[in-house]
Amino acid sequence: MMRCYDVFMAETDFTIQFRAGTLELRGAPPGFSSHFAAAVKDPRDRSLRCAALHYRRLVAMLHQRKVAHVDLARSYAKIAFTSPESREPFPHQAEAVEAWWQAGGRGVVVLPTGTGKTFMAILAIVRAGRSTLVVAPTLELVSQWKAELEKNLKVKVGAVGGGERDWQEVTVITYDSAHMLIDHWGPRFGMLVFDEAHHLPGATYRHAASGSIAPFRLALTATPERTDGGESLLNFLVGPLVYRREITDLASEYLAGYTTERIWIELKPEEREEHDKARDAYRAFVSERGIDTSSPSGWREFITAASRDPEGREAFRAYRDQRRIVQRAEGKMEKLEELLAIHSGERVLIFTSDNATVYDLARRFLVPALTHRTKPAERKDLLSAFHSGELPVLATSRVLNEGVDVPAAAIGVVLSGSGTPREHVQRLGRILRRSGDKRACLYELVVRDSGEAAISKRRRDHNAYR
Amino acid sequence: MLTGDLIRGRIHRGKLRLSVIDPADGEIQSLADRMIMLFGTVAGTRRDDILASINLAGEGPVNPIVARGLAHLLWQRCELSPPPGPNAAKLRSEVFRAAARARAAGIQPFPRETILTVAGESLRIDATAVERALFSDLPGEEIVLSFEPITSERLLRDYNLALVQGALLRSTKVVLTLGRPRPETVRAILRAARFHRLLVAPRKPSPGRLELEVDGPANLLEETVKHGMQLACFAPWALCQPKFHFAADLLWGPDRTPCRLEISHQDALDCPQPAPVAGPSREVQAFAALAAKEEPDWVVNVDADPIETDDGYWVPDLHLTRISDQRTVWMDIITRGRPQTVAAHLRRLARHRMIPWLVTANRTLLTENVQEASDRTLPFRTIPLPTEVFAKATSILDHSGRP
Repeated sequence: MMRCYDVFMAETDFTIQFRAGTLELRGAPPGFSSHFAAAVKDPRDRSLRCAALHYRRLVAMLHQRKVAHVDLARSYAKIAFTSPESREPFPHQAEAVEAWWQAGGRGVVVLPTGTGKTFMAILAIVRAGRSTLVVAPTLELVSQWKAELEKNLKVKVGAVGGGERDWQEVTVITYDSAHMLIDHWGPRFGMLVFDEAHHLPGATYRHAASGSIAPFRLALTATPERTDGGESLLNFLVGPLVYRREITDLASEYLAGYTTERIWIELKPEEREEHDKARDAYRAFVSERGIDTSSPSGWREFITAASRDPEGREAFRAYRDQRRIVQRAEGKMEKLEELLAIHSGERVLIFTSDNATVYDLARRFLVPALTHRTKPAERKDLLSAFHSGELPVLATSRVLNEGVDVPAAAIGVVLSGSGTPREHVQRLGRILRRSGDKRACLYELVVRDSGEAAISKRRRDHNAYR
Repeated sequence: MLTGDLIRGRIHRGKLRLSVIDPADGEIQSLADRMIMLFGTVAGTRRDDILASINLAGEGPVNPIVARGLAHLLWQRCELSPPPGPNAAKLRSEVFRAAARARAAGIQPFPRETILTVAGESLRIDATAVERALFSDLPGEEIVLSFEPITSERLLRDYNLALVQGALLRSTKVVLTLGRPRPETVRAILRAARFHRLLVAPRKPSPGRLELEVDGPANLLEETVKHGMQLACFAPWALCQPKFHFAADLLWGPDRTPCRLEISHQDALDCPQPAPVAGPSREVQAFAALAAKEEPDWVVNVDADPIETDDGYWVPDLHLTRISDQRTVWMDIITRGRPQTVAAHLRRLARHRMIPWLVTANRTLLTENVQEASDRTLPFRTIPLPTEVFAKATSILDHSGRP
């Protein structure tokens, strides 16, 4: 382990040490905490302590004020990576790296899926020249990152997650492992790259950023916005938004051209009757209790009210019934059959909001199902067969919403989903990666006169659909 | 232990109030009876088929989260197995590829039944059975083989304990106070804490009382699931005592709101007595086995009694007796915790130098230099090496007078 000692080390007892996601400051000069408010007194051992995230600011402040100290925290290395020679960056990639570097090597870059975020990050890693940890949400993405980094940086790249523990100067790790193993890697990397960074502000995952001392940080996402407003935390954890391009800015030139089509579906008479009965029961309850379901706290209020008495539970059951009828409407199945016939020979991804519907589709249309339950070997086989065209249709709920590279996919069919633009944009992103001269199409099947109409309106609230 | 979605509680003035159930409540007893009766009849049934029945059995005036919590505990008493039949992954691969070929060939209408029938021929099953077998490896398809019976009274007591255990998963600090504990109680509790790899600092705040501060998670700024799990496993020993006060600092809910959970014998949780600790931790057992093989001059005993000191108790993990003169060294093997807590433990033991003690600890935990205990400390990487331990023990005995 490398130790970096300050020039004043011989004259001071003031030490900075990394401990389990925090920096422990011992022997600080009197009144030090008044200059550095992030440090709080730990009553257990009477040391001063702050989140490791503050390392850069702390060291900068100590140098500025010429405070003698011994830095026992920093264990990462400076590395002179060779620049990737394989290709010239696209203009938006070069601009993004420059904007990030000008912001002090910290910040968030928003680029649509398929526009080369990985290559942009590799350029940033070379620029930072520090041992680097890339954090990605899934094992598929860990493998993809590892392959790309090895190809471009020409160094051995480690991977951690899913039972693998191979730490190298450049390592890729899952978000789950990153926050669990923070004790181990927190001081060892000087550059962090968070892929699909909209996950980072989550209550658990955020510790992967707050528990590391890395002074250089890059967050990548196509959709930073979160329903809980957590994206504002990215500024604290990683840095400010430094560069942003939308799908419409890059479509046709760097992404496949695309169309989106909303197809209205009618419920069968018996479905309509059952649906309306359930919807009326649900609406009556909500109205009677004065719950505004369109308000941010509306859903929580409904759940609370529904759990209090049998009437509420009945209303909750009615809510679920009307939702189920809409999600699995027979008209959707018939339309899907039609679309599969029209697009026979093309690669089609079918998106649903729940796994039960995925398995229903798989049994009915004899198409492979890809869910979080699919074992890694089978998942790999399905994606490879999808890519080669041997299995040209995949039904999935959320696992393909983001990250997984399926460049051959040209057709997306959204049978059901949430109302968040993020999910919809991510799903659109799956089919937009350039591959030959393909033209992508995203179908959205929406049941007329149902809650889906409003959901569809909300999820299309993004300029990619304008 | 209940999962987060099954725990009911609310924070009032910084205190978490868990919605514990009253085992004497007739409605709840009736719900528990219905649930137990249902689970008693499910052997041979698919897991998914039981879910609808559980929902029906859970209907009534009792909060459905309680019903789901009871069902959760009853599921843990079931032995499940995948259904017999063909290899589902292989069957899927075969069927979906055949279907893809049929679509590519543009066969209309899509020959679904034919594909399933052909796939079933070699397996000698019909199309319906093939369809059912396609996803027979999903958890919902598992068959219940057996159910371990339980009384409703015990189930309701288990529920309250599981509720507290679920809450403790989010804890950052726990202080347990016992009123006038008997020596065997002290021994059982301290050994349970060590068995679950928790470091406790026992204190005697006043005559007859024992206060145990259980070491918090590694990070001051967050709770950890690993630590919470250890605490949850330890909790039954505390909650079944006749006179206790249990205070846990928690970070509660999605916003990690700081709050405190306080429970005492007056809450009448009536938690079941835990099974006695099966034995020492894996590391202690491993060391004892290794030492028995390699060091015939010493006897290693893993059943060390609590040692009462003027400031509390100490329960060593084991004691080593030198056969030649029957003198003993008491020893701890520490594999987890915070370096600061290990240092505090060493400083405390250092005040009792008359006792021949030795602390071996994972070297990552010995980062603080405790000068007064340096000659009684031995770092290790995975488990302590017997040769090093006995050399150190010999040195300790040789440098200390006979007690």
